[in-house]
Amino acid sequence: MRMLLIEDNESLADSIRVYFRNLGHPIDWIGSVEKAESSLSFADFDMLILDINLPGKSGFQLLQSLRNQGNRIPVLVLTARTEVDDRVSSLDFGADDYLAKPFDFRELAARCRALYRRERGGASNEIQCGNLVYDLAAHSAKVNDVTLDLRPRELQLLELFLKNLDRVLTKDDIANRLYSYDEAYTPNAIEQTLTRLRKQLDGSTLIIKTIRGLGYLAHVDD
Amino acid sequence: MLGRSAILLLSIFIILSLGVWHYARQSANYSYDRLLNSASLSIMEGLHVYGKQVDLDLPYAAFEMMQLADQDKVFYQVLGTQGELITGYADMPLSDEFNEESPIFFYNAHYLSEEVRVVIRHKRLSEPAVSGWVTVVLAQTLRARHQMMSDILYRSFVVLFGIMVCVMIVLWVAINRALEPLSSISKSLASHSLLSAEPIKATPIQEVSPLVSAINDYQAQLLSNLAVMKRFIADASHQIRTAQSATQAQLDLASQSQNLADLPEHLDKIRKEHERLTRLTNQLLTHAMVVHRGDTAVTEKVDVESVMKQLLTECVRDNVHRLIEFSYQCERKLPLLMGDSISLREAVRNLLDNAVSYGSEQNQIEICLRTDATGIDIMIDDAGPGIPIELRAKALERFQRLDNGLSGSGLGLSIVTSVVEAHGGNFFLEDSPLGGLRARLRLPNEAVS
Repeated sequence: MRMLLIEDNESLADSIRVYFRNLGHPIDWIGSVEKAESSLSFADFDMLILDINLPGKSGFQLLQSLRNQGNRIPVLVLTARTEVDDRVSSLDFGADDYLAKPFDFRELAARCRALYRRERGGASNEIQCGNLVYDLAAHSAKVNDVTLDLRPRELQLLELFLKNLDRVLTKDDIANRLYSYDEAYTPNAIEQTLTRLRKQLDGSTLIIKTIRGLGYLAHVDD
Repeated sequence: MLGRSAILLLSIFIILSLGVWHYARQSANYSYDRLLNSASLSIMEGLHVYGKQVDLDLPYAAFEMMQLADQDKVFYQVLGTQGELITGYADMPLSDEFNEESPIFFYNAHYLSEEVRVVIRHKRLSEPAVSGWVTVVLAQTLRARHQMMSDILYRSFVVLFGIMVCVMIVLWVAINRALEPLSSISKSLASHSLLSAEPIKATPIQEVSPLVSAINDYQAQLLSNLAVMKRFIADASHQIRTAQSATQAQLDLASQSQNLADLPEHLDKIRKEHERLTRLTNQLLTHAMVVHRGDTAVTEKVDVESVMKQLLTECVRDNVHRLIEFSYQCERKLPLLMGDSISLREAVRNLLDNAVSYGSEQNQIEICLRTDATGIDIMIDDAGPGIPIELRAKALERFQRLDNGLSGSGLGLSIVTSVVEAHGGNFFLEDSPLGGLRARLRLPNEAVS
């Protein structure tokens, strides 16, 4: 994936560039919103890592103008911890994720991968999550290139989780997507489906966590 | 204050002057109308009937009376029963309003280029030879009236003005005397250093001694806050410097080390120290933020349930690789709470972080929400080692870290306490039904602002 980094702190920007280049991702760096707007086309990039506190125009302004133009490039926002509200408002302004400074580079890379994945999921027929590959067209899932033996309901459930990574799905959410109105189901049936799915996913990087009283959350731990 | 009193007095002066002017005009008119009245009466007395003719024998007394106003001119006219002129000026201005019913009538008119006051009087003659109404018209210029009116006005103004000046002087003295204690206090405050521990000297003036003691109380409170702040800064800088020097030491060791194989170990230690410093910095900033937000009383309607769900979701996502079981429990729909969602979020986030980092790998963490008539309880339960009862009070103190071998900033629970206090509630550490610690935030419905 090709990334664009807008960050005014040169030493931090350098470190991020070195880190991502070592991982094999091309990354371009630019120091201010004005320069980015005048000399770049955002269409060339798969992802934008955006600092909020910039000299001149702030990251928020860029984010707003991008979203107003209908540009859907995935944006990960970097905020300083002092502005707690930033985290909330950056999501409201159309950011896809945020990370508070100082951060662990491994986490930054993981979040970027997650965003990229989410974006690709809509376009191609394959969703790749770590070592799990899900084929939307063929309705099949592979872990480490071994096809999993999944029943139709389990595949539907897996697809639902993959499309809602890092979001809480309540039992009702799941029931509404898995069953039609005339199909009778019990909460137990969902749990049984989930138990079998979990057993099949053993050894994959996709973890489905139960939050008792709230629902289920799927996360890719890579 | 004196200026405003002066404006008030001036307006009173203007109102009184209007009254005085009216009074002066009235009394001048009244006095000279009487003269005119008497003079016209005595002229009327001088009317006689000779045969079939009405004749006037102008009485001397009438002129004597009119001479009382020696600057004024007098005009007169006497008309007989047929309206024929008996004597006097032929073209005296007659009033239309005059009618037969009243025997006498006064009015103002313009005659021979002068303002005059006119009286008309009539009388019915019922002699056998002559019968009918005879009329006497008597006019006088207004100089004497004006003179009298200005006399009265002038004297009244002098008196009024004198009174006003006296009142102003009295007011000025009174205000100064009343405010003298305050100005003496402001003088001593101006020469007083705010941060000196010495209170302002007690004053013998009874009325202002409560003010002096209030100022002294305020100062004492300020000083104690300042002392707390100083201790906080000292503690915080101690913590920061410790972490920094540990990092520095590891860096020095690493750079001196000849053996490249040792480097990963040094780097690992540096990373740990750095993480500690990061956590401490975050906690310090959060602490400063919640204290500031508490002081400025930022409040809005908070949907506690959705805030807690979101926090728990974030916590689950961050700790998904661990074996911790998370659960959420809310028995009844919670009412909206007046409070600061950002501070509340920080408080509960701290408690969740604590539960994760101080608990075992196979921990259970639960957010439990309850509500009753007076308020709501936010409880964070865990199945960790907990804190012994005798150490719980100590755990709430700032920078007190319990000797459990784990590193923390020592600020987390103090952040929670600040947030809860800003919401007018209480913070308790209790035993959890899950076996570990229960942190309970009790928030009243009507937050104290």
